[in-house]
Amino acid sequence: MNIVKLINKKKTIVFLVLLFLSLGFFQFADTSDPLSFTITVSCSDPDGDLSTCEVTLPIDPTDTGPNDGICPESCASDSCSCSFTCAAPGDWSVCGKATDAEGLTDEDCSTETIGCVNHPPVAAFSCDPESCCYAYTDSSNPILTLINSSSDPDGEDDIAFSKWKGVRPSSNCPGLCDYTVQTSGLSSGNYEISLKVIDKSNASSVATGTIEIKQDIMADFLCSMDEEGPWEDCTGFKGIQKEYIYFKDISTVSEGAEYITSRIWELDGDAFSDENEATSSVKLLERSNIIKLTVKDDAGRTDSALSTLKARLPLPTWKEVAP
Amino acid sequence: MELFKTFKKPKDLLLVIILIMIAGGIFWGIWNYYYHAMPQQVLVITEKPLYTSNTELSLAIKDILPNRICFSSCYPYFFERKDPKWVAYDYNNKCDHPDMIESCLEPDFAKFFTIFLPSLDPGVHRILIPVALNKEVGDFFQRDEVYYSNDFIVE
Repeated sequence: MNIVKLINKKKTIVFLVLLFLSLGFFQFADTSDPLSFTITVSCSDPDGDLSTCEVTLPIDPTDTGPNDGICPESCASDSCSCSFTCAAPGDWSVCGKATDAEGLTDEDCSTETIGCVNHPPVAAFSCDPESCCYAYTDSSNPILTLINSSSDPDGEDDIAFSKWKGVRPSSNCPGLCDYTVQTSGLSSGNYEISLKVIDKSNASSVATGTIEIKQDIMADFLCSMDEEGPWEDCTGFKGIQKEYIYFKDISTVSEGAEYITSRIWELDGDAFSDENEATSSVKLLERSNIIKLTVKDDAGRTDSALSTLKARLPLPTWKEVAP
Repeated sequence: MELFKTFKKPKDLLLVIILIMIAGGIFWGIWNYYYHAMPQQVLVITEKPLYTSNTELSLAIKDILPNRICFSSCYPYFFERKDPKWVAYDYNNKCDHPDMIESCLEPDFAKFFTIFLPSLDPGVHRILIPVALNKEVGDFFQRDEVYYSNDFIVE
């Protein structure tokens, strides 16, 4: 008769074997690795002439059953232990054998499915913040982080890898790791994200979800030497020192916004217009000038555009004076 | 008439003419030698060796050429900076009037000018003066020669 008592799944398994001649105990006690076990067999003889107590693992240790360790083991006492680690999940048999002084033996075996059976992980993730499962194009505000809330019945430590896919760059990391969505270079739209978690036994699970990348506000402006245009891209545009140069805002609002609520124009860090003017002008004083436009829309999104403008020297003039 | 009576033969007159031509040639040669030994340039000198941007610079120009020199009304001068070769600044390329000659300088005369320095990059500078030779005020300017000032530093 076998008595199997599961004290703590994954932790300790104790089962008893009652022999015809002897009384034996099989005790499974795991070590730090959930797939490593120590078997202890207790033997007894009603006649009191117990000779040896053995523990054996009939399944080939290099096959699907237990291996390593020091099993089998034979002891000249009423208790015998051996340790092993599972090479792979699966069922296996352990046997206890008691022999008395007269050479009478009794053996009992048990096939167990507990212990070396791996439980696959369960993949799951959520957005952080949970109510905001979106990000903006080319923006790190807000930072959208996907929280890896995967679990494994065999313990969190059993998860070997997490693989995030959906938006570049993909991310592979050991154990459980979160994923920060990089929106640089992404166009707006919905993106399906998948998280695959793989445990130490190569069992895996995949969770998918959708995030939204919204078009962010984009600040930009054009340049001209004349108030009425023609307007040109400011890249490579050259103004003239001490003459007015004109700017025209061509910013686009963020997804969901309707209009620009604020425009601040700056020359070398000093604001020369902050009254939400779509066109503005300033005299370039230096050979190299940095123009900055900061815009904000009614969705509260802000962006800035910078342009370094070179200034030509003005027409050379001189005044004749008396010696 | 008395002079001609001294030449008793025609060949005497011919001899005198030849002597006069030889003497003239010698004089011309001497004059030409010393003329070319004289300075043949335009002096362009700044008042100080050190300036800062957005200040006035005083400039003297003396014509030591045998020619009249004339200046452009659009671009009478250009600043150049040493970096490490001489590099001309980029100027406003739209002169709002025809590039006529508006002033000239006769040989051995000098003129003085003040220039308001724009914002220049720090470093060693010089002034390039393009000139037209032997033109008149009101003619279209055409660059014949360029002359340079002394080097000066812009802080």
